Amino acid sequence: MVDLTFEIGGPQGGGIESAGQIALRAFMLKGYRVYGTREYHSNIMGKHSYFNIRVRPDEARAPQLPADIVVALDAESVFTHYNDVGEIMVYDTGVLKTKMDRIPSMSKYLKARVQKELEENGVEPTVAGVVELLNKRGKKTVGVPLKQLLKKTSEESGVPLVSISRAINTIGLAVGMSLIGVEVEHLERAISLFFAGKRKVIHPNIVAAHIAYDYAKENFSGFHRETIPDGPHVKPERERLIVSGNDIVAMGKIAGGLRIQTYYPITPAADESLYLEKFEEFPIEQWAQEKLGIEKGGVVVVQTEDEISAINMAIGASIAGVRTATSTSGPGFSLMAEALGYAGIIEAPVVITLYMRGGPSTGMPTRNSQSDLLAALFQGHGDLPRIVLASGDHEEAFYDAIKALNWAEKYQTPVVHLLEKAIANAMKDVFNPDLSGVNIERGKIVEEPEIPFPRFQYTEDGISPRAFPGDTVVWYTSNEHDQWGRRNEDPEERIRMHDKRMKKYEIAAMEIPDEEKAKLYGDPDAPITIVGWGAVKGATLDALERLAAEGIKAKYLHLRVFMPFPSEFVSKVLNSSEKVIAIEGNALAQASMVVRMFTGIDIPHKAIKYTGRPVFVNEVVDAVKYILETNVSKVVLKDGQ
Amino acid sequence: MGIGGARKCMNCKYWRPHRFYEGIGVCTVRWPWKMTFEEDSCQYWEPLIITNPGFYWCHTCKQRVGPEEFEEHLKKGHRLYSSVYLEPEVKEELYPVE
Ligand SMILES: [Zn+2]
Repeated sequence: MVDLTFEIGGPQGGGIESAGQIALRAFMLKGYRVYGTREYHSNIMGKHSYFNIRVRPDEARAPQLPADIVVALDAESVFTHYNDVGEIMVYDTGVLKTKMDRIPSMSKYLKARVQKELEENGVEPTVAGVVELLNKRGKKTVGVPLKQLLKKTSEESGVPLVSISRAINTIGLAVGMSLIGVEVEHLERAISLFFAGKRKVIHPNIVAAHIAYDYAKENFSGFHRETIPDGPHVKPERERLIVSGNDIVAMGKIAGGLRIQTYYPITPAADESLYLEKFEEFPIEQWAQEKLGIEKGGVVVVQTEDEISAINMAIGASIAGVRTATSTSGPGFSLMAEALGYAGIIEAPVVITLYMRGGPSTGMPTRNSQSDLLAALFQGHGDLPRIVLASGDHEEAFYDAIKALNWAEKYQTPVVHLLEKAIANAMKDVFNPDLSGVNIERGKIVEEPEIPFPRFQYTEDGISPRAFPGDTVVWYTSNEHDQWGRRNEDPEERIRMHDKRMKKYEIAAMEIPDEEKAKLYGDPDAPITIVGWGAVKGATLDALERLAAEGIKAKYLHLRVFMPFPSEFVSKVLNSSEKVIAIEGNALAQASMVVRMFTGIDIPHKAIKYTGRPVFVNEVVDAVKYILETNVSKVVLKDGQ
Repeated sequence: MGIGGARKCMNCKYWRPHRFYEGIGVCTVRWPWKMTFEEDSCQYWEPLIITNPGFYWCHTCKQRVGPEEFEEHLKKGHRLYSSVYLEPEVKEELYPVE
């Protein structure tokens, strides 16, 4: 079975983004599923960035190492990724003499580690030294004179060099694709697709691809893998999209009837709002036009002055009666703490999409983490009912975005939808989402309300009907209030009103089925249970396959909703397991703490990662095996640059 | 002061190195600018001499240096240019970070 990893790295701004995007499309056209993890720096230009692309006939869902091939477009990529090389490294012969200490953008800590390893192996700290080391290790090293091939591209395409310098990436990429066994036709089509509408760019890049293929054939024929057979999706039975996590959350929100999104730009959340901005107006089908009496659909996207304003504006819009959400990451969510409580006490349905990056404080803006779970659960003061759910992949993220909007209105409570940078920035191919099961549930709304209206009316289920200003008169206050929304601190009324709010949480806990709160993957009778959440899912599901191949029987318990927590279901699974191992992207093992809080069960073994990088498939396999061998309680994962 | 050696683009006053790719840059002597390799040469060559305090691009450190720093970089043998070449499309490749 084809299961390969293609890594390509170079200077940020130098064309790695295009190269990665083209590679993803080429593998898709070849009929495969893809997953592209992006790593980049926060101080933007010239710093190292790379794509780790996983390719499989069935769902590709996590990064893995080693990579079958590493394409290093500059010297820094050679020094940064030589330990990632599984079989082949492509490098630029123009940088062979480059000394590592002459690379100003490279971190001194990485330099020190590499220096040490190169010294221990008796090679000099130059690109040539690394190539020598890789050859000693039996790896294939493929030197490509990128500059000369670029010149040839200019001559053959008739396009001046100055207009096509970025084709250097295409040359490096194409050599890699050729060696790994992808036909040039697929790369050509991918180039045309990615640069659609830019004929002046497409032509020289296609010329560059052919020159690179010819070069690889003439000079490294022995290094070529056999041509990869066409994947199962080469003639697609269903349309596939290639999307980032940010994109698909935005799509989910549109499908879920979002009308207003507020945000203040922050990594890695902002791209979702930028994507939504493209849909401030969109066409709708005839039947919908007739039914709704409108010609077009639309989402209002407002960039506010800060996150305090963003959430308060979203709350305001929800009071006015429309579906609203705001989107942010850790530092912005911290600013939203007070307003979260406000949304709680006035029972405003609002969705907060919270993208987790490396913290605390501004931490590592472009790096991954799962360290905001406890903040999502406990941010804000007072007893505050809320719903907290986390998505494990792009598909979950789409439907979760819709669910979050439904739950917010149904239970009139803030919903925190957690995602990670690893999902937000990863490019994945997904089948065009099936909307047949999607319903928009707006909860109790009174169309013709009495005037004035008792917004916080006591009801059996704690959920009061909503009516909106304009249709009637309603009162809202951040203070404790009576059924009319008027300030009130009477002790007995306080109990009634507080119980009413908390009752909604009980109802949500009852109504939301367990299978939406947690899901068990693999053989339910397997003695080992791996517990995880978020993007740990993809890496773990792949790891289960590999562990099974080695005779290790494990299942995966994927936690999805943390409030209300599926205590009984989780307890049942954990109590019937011989060995339980948690895998998390934070140092505290926060989800394990939540499991303990709601079930009393202490998960004895934890593999945790807090380097700011996502969990790789190989790390899960190794960690599980290591824990089984040694019975240690904690393993710290460190893979990835 | 300048970069010693033969009459190559890399030590010509009209040349600006590419921000990302080693060994290539643009010749600004005539519009439209032409991309050349650092070891190329042409009839318009003029020596790159940096003496006046000002802002320069240090291609060794891959950073802009100011009037107080530039001599320090020259002394260390760093490659200084009046400017650096950035493609207009660079923004398509950057990840905005906030
Ligand atoms: Zn310098």
